[in-house]
Amino acid sequence: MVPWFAIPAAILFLLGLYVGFFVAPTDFQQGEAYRIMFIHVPAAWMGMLLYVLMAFYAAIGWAFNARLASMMASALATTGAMFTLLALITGALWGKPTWGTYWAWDARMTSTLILLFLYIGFISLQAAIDDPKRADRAGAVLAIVGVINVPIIYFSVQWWNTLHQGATIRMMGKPTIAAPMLAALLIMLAACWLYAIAVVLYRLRVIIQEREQNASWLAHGAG
Amino acid sequence: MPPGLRTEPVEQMSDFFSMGGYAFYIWGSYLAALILVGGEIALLVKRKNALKRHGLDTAGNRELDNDSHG
Repeated sequence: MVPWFAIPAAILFLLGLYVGFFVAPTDFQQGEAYRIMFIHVPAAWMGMLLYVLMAFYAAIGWAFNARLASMMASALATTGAMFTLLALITGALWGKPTWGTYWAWDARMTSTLILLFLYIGFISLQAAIDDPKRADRAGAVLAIVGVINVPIIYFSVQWWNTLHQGATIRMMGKPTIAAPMLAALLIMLAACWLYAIAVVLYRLRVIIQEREQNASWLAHGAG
Repeated sequence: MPPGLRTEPVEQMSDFFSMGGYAFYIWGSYLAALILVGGEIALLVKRKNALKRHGLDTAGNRELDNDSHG
């Protein structure tokens, strides 16, 4: 099933980059610098959405003792952390030429950094506990408590007077960018989704096999 | 040319790569993306391969066990 997502992801990445670099016009305010948007915005969205998904699966796994859901949460964590780190790096590289600084302790940037720490905390906590059941439970508590951070990131640009600009794409109303820019952004977002699905499904399979192996090794050792 | 498209098509490769002076930031961003995605895939494949090796070992043990039982 993985190639069904991985191959379209690769095609859409290339298409999104083509539209983003060769079709979309130069921004009248930011010049070419805005082209970082095509990777920065999807990465930031993925970081937040994957966290919510991770917390959701962790909660299901905890509440219903559903081991597969817990394993799904573990599989999502690394990819979510990767996208969050990418959003922070590309954000810094975008901030320098437009704001004059790589980093500021602005509400959105700080809360996104906290998101990365939550992912790292979840991954390290699970890695530190040998018993998978206890690891899943401890991870679930952290993931669920941390989910409060996601709306804080999302609304930070409205709640506080931040250096970071407001939303360009809104649920309601027209987006405030040219059509090819929006097209490139949405294609890149779709590519990121497909990539995330492919990688997470692959990792889920590896995690399932790892746990089976550990269980059989334990049974073998005990017997 | 339809509105909203690039008004000046890309003519010079060097102009394209210089990105109006933002080359370091733009290419740096996409390079970071490439490294992180490539890194994630590499780590995942490594993890999968570790599993295979381990799997072969246990399969080997099982064979030995079967032999001893037989």
